[in-house]
Amino acid sequence: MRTVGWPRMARLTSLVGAAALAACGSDPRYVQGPMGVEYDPALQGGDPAPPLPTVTLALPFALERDEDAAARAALAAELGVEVPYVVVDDLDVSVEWTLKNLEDQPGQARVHLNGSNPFFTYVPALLTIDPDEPDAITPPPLLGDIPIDVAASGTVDGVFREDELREASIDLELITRGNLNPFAAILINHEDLESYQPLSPIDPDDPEAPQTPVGPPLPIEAFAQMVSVDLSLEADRHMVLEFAVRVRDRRGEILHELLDSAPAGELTAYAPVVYDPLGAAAP
Amino acid sequence: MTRARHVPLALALVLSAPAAAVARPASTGYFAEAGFGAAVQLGEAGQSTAPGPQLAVRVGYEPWSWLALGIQLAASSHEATVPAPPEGEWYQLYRGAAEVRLTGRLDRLALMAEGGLGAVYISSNVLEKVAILEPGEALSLAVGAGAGLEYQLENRHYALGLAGDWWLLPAFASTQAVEGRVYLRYTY
Repeated sequence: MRTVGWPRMARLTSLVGAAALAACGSDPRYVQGPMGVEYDPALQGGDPAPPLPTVTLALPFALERDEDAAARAALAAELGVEVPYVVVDDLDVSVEWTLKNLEDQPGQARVHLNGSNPFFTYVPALLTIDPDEPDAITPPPLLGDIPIDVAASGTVDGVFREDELREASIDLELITRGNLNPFAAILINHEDLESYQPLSPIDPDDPEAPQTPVGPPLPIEAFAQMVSVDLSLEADRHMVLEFAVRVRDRRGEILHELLDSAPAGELTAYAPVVYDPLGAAAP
Repeated sequence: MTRARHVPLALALVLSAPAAAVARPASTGYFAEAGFGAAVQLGEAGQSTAPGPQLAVRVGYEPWSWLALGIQLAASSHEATVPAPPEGEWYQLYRGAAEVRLTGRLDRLALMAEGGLGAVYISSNVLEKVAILEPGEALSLAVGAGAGLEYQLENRHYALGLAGDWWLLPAFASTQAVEGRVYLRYTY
């Protein structure tokens, strides 16, 4: 009896250990926003109105390993499109936020989430057609822009979920590399998208002109993950937004072990271009 | 009246019984133990962490009834109560340790004391916000001690127990934790 007991216990121990290791595979890591986003209505007046206060948080990605770069180059050659270091299903990202009303009157606020992937930065204000017209419409942010009631001196917590951030990353690619109309990209759910045929850029002189297919289709395997998030706030009271980004690294090798405490030279640096097909950005 | 006359005799029998009793038979040798309970962190860590459920398994060898050597694997889950954000997030502590246990038996009951040395892994860096963790820190040495009470069932292989332990995690800002558990122990 005793001669067979020990192997059984060894197997049991191995199973428990394996389960524990599996549970550690995509443990969440938190990156705090570098500062709060403060909106004071008294400072936001003027014509034209100044841009919304925005805080950007770049995700701390480790440098790409040589073997990963080689595998990525091979995949890019196979697909015929550029494949970024971090694609949408490499990470699960969510943004948790807390909104504080600093006044003793109830107020309402809107939180906007935009951001960048390795190629482009999305700035909705630059995509306003005929911005000088009184009924000009600006495309929505990638996420948010929902009115939030905040009690006097009160606090509200919220989260942009992992599935929402995944959708935002896809939408950003559709808008920028795909040249899809931002309204269509953001208002339609692309959860099950497998590939997308990029279109010709919007003609700034004739934004209503039809777009034509350009280049090979962009498969979901090549869709870039957002590498930084921009949190903006607008409110009718003096409020502060604090946030933290929660990341689960499915590959287990993308996030730097030290996160934002890592030396700058050990982090992947990105220089995305502001997506500005209408040429609206200040020179 | 008849019943009253028998009371002194019955009392005498009851009082004399322990002297005649022998310790209930219990196996020695390889053992396995599974328990569940709760873990509570103390001090500053306790301000940022809610008590949470815990599961633990232990296996080892008991050469004599008074000494057992073994290893334990334990996992507990806790809600981080750090200032928001994040809000309502949970993390897990996974512990592996080597243990020594000393046991003194009195019939069917046993008192035991145990001590352990091992390591703890924390599944999240959420406690960085309150400086309990340093950047990149996820592992700590774990030093612990505890005591408990064990009840030997009539089947010599099985015992039920109630135990409490204290643990020190030096790398996690010297966090201390106390745990309580009930367990079932099987000795081959």
